[in-house]
Amino acid sequence: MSLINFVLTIMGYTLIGIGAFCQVVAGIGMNRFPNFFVRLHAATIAAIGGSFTPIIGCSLLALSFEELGTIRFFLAGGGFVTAAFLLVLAPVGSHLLAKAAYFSKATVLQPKVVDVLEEDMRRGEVHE
Amino acid sequence: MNELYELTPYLVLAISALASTVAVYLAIIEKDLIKAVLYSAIQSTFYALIFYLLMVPDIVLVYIPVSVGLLPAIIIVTIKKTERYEDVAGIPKSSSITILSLVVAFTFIAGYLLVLSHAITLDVFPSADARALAKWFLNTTLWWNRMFSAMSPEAVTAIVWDYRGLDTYFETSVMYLAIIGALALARYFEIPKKEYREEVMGMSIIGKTATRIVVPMILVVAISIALHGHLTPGGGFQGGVTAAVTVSLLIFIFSTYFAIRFFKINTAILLRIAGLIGIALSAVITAIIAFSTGQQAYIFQNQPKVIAQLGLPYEVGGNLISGTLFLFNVFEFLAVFMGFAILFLLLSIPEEIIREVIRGEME
Repeated sequence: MSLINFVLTIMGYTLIGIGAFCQVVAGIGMNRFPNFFVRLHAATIAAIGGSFTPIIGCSLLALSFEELGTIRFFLAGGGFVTAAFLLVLAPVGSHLLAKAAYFSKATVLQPKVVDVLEEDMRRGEVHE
Repeated sequence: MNELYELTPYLVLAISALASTVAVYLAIIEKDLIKAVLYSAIQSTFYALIFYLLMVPDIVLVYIPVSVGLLPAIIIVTIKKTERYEDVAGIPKSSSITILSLVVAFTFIAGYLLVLSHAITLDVFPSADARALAKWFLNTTLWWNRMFSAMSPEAVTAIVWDYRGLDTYFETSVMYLAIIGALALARYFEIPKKEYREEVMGMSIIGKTATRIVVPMILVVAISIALHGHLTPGGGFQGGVTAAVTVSLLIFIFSTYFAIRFFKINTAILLRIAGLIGIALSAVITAIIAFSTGQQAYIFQNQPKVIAQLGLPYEVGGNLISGTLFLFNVFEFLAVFMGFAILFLLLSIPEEIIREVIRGEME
């Protein structure tokens, strides 16, 4: 195993480990957080930390796995594209969810510390 | 004793068919709708048994939860929200006799067809060594002898288009008719002409920007799914549906008025018709070539067969295209994409406009 492959393997395993940790943290957060918006925060941890990171890790692992031949580049490329999609779409999805939930008043806002959006709306800077 | 053992499935089949007929009759004449639902569930149970005996376990697995569990549950919820009993007059006696005679007639016809199939194949139940058939199909999917192969490594596409293309052909026709139906229902509705304004309409700027980035990517993925249909899992239908996601994204994230800049309903209908004509032509293209050169060919033929020596080229410049499979995928992609685009656009017409049109018709 060459040095580059060794480094790639170590990085891949580390990223997958970080992903697993993030999934556990997100699961705990989903169960323990009090309302929709903070739970959404836990869900984004699962999406970015728990999905994006391990997919990158898997791609690196695939790159380092020479037994696959040239197929490993296709595998890694597919993984990177999927990760890029996730990186763009997961935050947008949670943003739209949060916005819809906030403006439709379908969720309970309590407990809250600060609500900047409400202040802006009162001042008339933001409209629904 | 052994003969009786062999007869058992036939007997169970006959008895459950009869019992399901009785259950249907009871379900139709029953005034208490909850009981009628129960009768219909009993009929479904018998049908599941029949399907099991006819060796289609996959259909049984879908049929039991849907028709015994889900459907009665939905109907019972509906009944709970409306009325439990049919109106007092109910079905008049003469029409109930008509229904009974219709049911009996259908049973006889079905029984006759069953006997006929028994006479033709000498066996109602499919043979137990169906695995051999599957092996044969898989072995001839990609085998570099063109006489016995569809020349495509993708088993499903190869089997669908080269061995039983009729199935997909009629599937396409069903979807064609469904969209024609939707168009006929919406023949007086028009998407109102309104200027799309970026600041007021649609979701937030974050969503819009992300959609602008993602929509071309989805289209690329969809086209690649469709064009690789003969190489990898996927194909025209799947690619078309994936591409249709872009239309719904444009409608939901931006606005209908933004979406109709790119997808006019009439243009979509035209493109869809072009796709359907392409499918029909691909089905008969080998036959057309054969007739014009005085040879023999089958409809839906792709590669040469033993008594029909004509076949489409399976590669172009070293790239595998599997003859008609590539054409089918391209045209199916077009037809399905545009079909769903039409549906999404029709569904996005505001309710008030539809109400207005209906009210105008009533007066």
